[in-house]
Amino acid sequence: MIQVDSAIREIAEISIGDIIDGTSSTLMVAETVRLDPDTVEDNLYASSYCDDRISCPWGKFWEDMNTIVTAHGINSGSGESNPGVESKHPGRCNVLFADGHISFIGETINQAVLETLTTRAGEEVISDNGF
Amino acid sequence: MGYCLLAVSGCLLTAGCGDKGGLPSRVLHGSVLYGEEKAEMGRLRFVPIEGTPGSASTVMIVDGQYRVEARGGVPIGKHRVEVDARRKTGRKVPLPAREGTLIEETVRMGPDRYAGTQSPLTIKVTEQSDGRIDIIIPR
Repeated sequence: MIQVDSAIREIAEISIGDIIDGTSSTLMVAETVRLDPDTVEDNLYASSYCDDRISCPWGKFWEDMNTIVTAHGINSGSGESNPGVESKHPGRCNVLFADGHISFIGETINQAVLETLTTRAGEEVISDNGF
Repeated sequence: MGYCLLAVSGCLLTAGCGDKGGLPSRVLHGSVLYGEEKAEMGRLRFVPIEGTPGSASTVMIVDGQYRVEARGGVPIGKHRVEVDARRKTGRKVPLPAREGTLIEETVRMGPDRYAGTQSPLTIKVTEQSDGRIDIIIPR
């Protein structure tokens, strides 16, 4: 059970069985740099809320729920208004998958692959070397 | 240590520093218009298509202008452009995500489809590009 608590802000209960795309190919948490003009703080956000393409316009995100935003790619500098996948590492960003493994994903990742990794039940197939 | 410092300053001074992510890219900039009307605010998303490598790039539209600078700009190749251009209504509305905060109310300029994955706008970024590309939603 992934019990999302206040650190990730949105309340949700998702069981391992709900991650039908596979826990090793579903993003759960990513680094982000959100340049909030009021608080100027860095935050972490979580994904795994998106079931399919219909519920997640512009790639995969529910912006109002402060979940992860992969629609803008990696390190696109959009953090001022969107909690995108952002880091201060040159060229890469750390992400955590639902099976617990961490990956240092590059900015060169294919956008379609990135969005596919974000859904937990999109029923897409990703080859092992896709990212 | 001396080598480290040298490498860093070399990067800052080199225009091609944006290639650090591994893809040749161009810093893009220009105007965003709905017909002849300037987009007051909003955002643009460049999504690589037709085999163009790399992930998407999003930038804010500020006073009718945009500039993609992060990670060296937009990768060379073809991209779909999704434009969420907005104009202010002059009213203030509450921000749903944060209680007690008021923001400028805006309305979208132009048809909704230009703001999403169905957008018919595409651009081609070339090696020779000077980086200036105006984005125009036809009226």
